[in-house]
Amino acid sequence: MSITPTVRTRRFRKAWQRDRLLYLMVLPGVIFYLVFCYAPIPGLILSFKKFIPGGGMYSGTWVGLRWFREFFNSPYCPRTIRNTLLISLYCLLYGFPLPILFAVCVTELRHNGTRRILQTVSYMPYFFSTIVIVGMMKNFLDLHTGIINQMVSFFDKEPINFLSKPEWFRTLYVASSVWQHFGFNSIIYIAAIIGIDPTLYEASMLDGISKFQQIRYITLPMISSTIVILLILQLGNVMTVGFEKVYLMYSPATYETADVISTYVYRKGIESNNYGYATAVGMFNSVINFLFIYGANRLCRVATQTSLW
Amino acid sequence: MKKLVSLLLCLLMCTSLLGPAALAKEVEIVYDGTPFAPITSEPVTLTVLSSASGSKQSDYETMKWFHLALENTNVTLEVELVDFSSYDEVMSTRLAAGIDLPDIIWVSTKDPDGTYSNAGLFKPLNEYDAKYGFNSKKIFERYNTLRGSCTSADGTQYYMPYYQLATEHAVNFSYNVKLFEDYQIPVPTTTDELYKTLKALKAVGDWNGNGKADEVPLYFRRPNGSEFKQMASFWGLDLVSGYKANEEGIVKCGFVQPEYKEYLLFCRKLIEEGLLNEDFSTGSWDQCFARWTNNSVGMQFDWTSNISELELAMCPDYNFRTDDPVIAVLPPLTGPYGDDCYMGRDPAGKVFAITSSCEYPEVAYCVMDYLLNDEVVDMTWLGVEGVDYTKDAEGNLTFTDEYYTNKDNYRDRNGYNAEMLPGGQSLYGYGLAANNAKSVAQWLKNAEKTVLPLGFTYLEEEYNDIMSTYQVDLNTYIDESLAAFVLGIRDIESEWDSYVEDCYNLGLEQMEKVYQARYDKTK
Repeated sequence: MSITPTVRTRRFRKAWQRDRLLYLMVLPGVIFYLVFCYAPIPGLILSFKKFIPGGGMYSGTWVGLRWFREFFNSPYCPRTIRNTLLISLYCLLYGFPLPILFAVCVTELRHNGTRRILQTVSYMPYFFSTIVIVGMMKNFLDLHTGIINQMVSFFDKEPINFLSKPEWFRTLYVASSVWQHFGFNSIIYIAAIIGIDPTLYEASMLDGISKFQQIRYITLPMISSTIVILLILQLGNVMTVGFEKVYLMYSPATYETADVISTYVYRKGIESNNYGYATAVGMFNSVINFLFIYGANRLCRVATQTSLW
Repeated sequence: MKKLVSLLLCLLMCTSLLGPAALAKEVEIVYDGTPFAPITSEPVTLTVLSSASGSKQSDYETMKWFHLALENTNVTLEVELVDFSSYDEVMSTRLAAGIDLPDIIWVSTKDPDGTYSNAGLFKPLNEYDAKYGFNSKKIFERYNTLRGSCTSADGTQYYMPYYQLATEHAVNFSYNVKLFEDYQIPVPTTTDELYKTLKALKAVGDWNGNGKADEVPLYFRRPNGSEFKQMASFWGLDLVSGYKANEEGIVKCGFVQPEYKEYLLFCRKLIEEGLLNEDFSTGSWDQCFARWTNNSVGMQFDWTSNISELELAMCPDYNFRTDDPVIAVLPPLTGPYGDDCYMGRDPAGKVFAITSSCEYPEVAYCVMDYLLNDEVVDMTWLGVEGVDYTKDAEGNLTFTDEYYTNKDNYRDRNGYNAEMLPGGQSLYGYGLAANNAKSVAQWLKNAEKTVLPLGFTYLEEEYNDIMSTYQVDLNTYIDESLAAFVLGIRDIESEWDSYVEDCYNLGLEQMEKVYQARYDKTK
């Protein structure tokens, strides 16, 4: 039986009457995604054009795949892709498990006051701006007056010029990112753990299993779907390393390990007003991110029967 | 309903067609180049997008000297000041969108490949220059490379300049006077003597007596090594523009010359022996300021105008007018090849354009020409006679304490060194008004031994294509190699040949052709 427009309208009116508050709640998010994610999609056309400033998105001459060729033929293309992937993967390797461990530890605390203090202190760095974080790092790591090098000197070692040594860049970037985000990222895991049925723990205590076994056989499996979903979302950002922080931290002395796709494109595309080039590389980034997230989703669905879609 | 919608759309389309035709408005212009006189017969307001990059102030409304300078002109400027560090992005995205454009805009990138001017975003100024260029003509004659920096390759003038003191305000070598006197360390005159002086400073040890080994004989502060590149002038190199013409007029890149290798070896030796700060590529102004406050710097290469701030950092009670310099400026050292010069600056400090959306382009041009008048420039630097200074019969100025000491940033708040509108730098304003007389006398002597880098000028499309293809990658390689060689990450002797070869593989030969064309245009 086909559904006539009148029937469709009546059903919509009924749904609206019943759930209008829910629809209104989701409306800002939908508008946000429509305006900032879907509406700019036609702008990808700039990847194939030599953009004329002030002429609008459809101005300029067609250059085909010129910008893609320029990027892939650039001597710095392999290095920037390598640095981007390595920094993202290190952030994932160290930054993904830590919030889970922290959430498990925090929920095991008996004393409410301690738990609240710990959570508040762990969340606070998330709200510092990138400039503040990098400023703090520069002061702490200063060659002569920084507290780290003063401690190094205390043990009769030579001070280390951390911000000028390429071998230290990834460590500093990953460590500061993990410190800044682990507290806030643990919130969703804490919420998932609190949502676990307490009778499971009571039953396990009757069986005489240890705290560690409880975590291993109850807590982690019960939040595994949350972990998988967040892992898939994280993998979708593998090719996106934050431009701001790298730009503030890097210098010519550390380009070898610090120069990522976004900073290279900033110099080549934005500073040189070559928006077509910047768009082309951005599109390349997004395509790779999509392939990652698609692959991760399929793999998770096969391995754990849990997936984003 | 459908008919109503169609009618509304038609009306909208008709209104939008009328829009561009309504842009250019007429107003009577009475401007004749006279300072502090009307420009128009009725009030006109113009919008400006810029940045007070010199003083880092962000509120044009407090800049009394500019308001006074424009008081009688009938023109009001609404100036939007953007933070200097983010100005490039703000300007380029605003121009890329082509909407909400101000009447006058500072083009921070100078639009070297004509992207903006070719897109019709800026008004050609040749016609206005012929009618109203009373002051700009004098400035272009005074600095003969300036017109080339304001005119595109096809001869169309799109810009008006903010000119800077090319030789008087430059990066000079300076030293900690009390430190040298206390330990009787000789002031160097050659680069060989410089090395010995730095060794002597290192031998002094904890000269600030704080118990920490934070003393630095020679300090460079710029993240991209700008002042570091300036010191190479003692080796006969122009690393500021990167390219220099030899005696036959052939332009070569300084970063692949044998002299550059010698310079790198010298700096590497300084780093190895702890005579130069290792963080020269990551330092900031705040760190530099903190070092001078702690009296932990022996010698520094920096802009002459920064010296007074650093002197106050070291000695808060320092009095410019009566005390001898705390940080003294040196004449250029004689290098290993006999060169003894400093590198100056391109006189074309900034360029400003009138955008295509300006309703009063002639008025905008007149205002920009007006701001180039010497008396107007002086007012924006020196303030008001009778309020900020008095003049004696010989024309010597005596400033108030408030002006001289810059109490509560008095000068900056009033517009001193704002560099946000067309105009120029005042030698008197930079000199006696704000610095020790002995220091200024040395600057002026040093100016006679300051050479200009290869100036900026606009070139044809083929050269712009070469620049956009090779410039960024080549500069990236040169900058990171500089840091790697000096810090010892790469060995200079064993890797020099491969470095030079890599530079040519990255398009250096093509870039030399571009700079040759630039040199040929400006010589």
